[in-house]
Amino acid sequence: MSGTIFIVGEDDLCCSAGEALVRYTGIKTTISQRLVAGGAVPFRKKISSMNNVAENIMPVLMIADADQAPCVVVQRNTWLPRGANERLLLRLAVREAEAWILADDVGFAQFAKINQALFPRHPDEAADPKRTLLELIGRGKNRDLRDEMLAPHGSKSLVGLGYNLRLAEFVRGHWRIDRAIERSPSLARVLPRLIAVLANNNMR
Amino acid sequence: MLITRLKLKNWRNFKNLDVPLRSRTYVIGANASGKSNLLDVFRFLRDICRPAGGGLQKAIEDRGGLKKLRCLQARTDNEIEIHVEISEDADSDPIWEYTLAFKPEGKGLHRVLVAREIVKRAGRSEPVLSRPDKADGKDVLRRTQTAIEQINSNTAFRDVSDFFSETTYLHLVPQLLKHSEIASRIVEGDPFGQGLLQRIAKTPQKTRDARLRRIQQSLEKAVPQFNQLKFEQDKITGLPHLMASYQHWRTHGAWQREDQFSDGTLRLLGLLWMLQESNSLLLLEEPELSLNDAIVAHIPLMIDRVLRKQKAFGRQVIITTHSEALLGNPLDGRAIILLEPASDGTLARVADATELALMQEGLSPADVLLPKTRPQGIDQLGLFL
Repeated sequence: MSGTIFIVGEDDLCCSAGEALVRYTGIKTTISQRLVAGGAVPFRKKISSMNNVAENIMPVLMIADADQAPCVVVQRNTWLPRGANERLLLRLAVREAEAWILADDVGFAQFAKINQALFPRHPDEAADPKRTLLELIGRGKNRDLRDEMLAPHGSKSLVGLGYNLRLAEFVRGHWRIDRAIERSPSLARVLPRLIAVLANNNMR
Repeated sequence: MLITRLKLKNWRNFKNLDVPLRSRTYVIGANASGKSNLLDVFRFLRDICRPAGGGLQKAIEDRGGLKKLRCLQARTDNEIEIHVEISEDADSDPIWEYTLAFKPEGKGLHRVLVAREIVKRAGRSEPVLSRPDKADGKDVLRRTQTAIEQINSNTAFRDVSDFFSETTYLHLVPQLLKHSEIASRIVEGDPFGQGLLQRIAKTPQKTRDARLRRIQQSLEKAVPQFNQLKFEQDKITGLPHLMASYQHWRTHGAWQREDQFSDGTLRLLGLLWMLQESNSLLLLEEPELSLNDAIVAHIPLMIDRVLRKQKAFGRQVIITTHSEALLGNPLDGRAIILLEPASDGTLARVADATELALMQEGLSPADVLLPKTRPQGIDQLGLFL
């Protein structure tokens, strides 16, 4: 029998990335719940109840952006409750989940018709991955993406109306995790424990 | 062309209002804060300029007379004034300015008289029109009509009159389409979408098919099981109908008529049709009604996509909304008008510098602006029930 998992993302992109990671492990798992917290604060508030879910019902994968925290591990440890259940996986993308997207340079270059040489070599270290990604799209040749993902000229919003939708489309259909983990150590670190928990879950 | 600035004096619940407008403008505010009253200004101007049966007197009468139009807080000054600026695009200087002020005669027949009517055009030092003029002084009856409603007088600014008269307002009430027996008469301008089917029927077939195809593509995504959309004329009664096919346990699915569609499907359909219908100002009243939040969240993008396909991306759309899902989008912070009820009528404003800065950092209007429209004291509502 296949096990189940609960995925919580700070935003839609984190959630989609979580789903892709679970699928990538190749371990037969049903994603039975998917929750978009909608911001860092509601995300943190969910942690303690998710710990209970992990303890009593099913494993939980929680993904958020670490934003500008100096050290991901320290931040994660302050967020986790004391004696957190081992089936609660809380993962923070170093700055933003966009860094994980940029890590698949081949895939995203094709998707957005961008010159691959323009991608940062170490996306985890990019100071502002979202801005980097927006700049890349602006230099790309995919007109539809430019129209919908970038904020219109002079607009006071950061991104365009279709930003999340288009990124989620990429993550679901085109994102290759095997390529992304080679360039993003923070993404690679998610996998061993996820695999361990999922495998364990299936044996129960 | 689009309206880039609106100034009002004593209009319904706005004692004074002065706001910029953009190609997509969202109007947010608590219940009874005046969102619909704000949209009504544009309908009022349209009613004045309507080629058949329009005019200032009719437009006022349709709204229940001057007493109902004038702001309750207007104590000493009883004049209503509307001022709009029209530009080619949102960031350029206005090419037209139109001002209309009117008030009760105050004696004799107690008619409503035009107090001022001014039309200015960019590049001209003198106004194209400036009333009251000499002739108005000799003949008071002239002042019961605006110049913009008269073809003989508006030759020099016909563009403005045409622009106003083409405004479309949509607040589709699905029940009126489903139950033709309660919809006795179609109100002028068809604000509630009763005439949607007739509109579709009147469209040339090729255009109609293209539009329905676009609607179908959007609905496929929004409504599960939705398969195909077509237009049909009933063979016996001759009445126009929309038919949709839903995936079903039968191989060919099931064809349903519009009276069997869900409220949400009908509203979405009406919205998508109206977006494609003309190229002038479109007013949308709470497009989120009856729709799932996940669909509502896509409305702004849907509007952009349809207009982009129509090559009418610059078309002006003004939307009133309460929806958190809709405002959770990365909308342009400058395009949101906030209505805040105060003791002296409703105050309207756009986001201030701090709020704009917050939105530029990636917070959505739902995070920054929507909390400010919550009625004060609402937290205690439950205590009284």
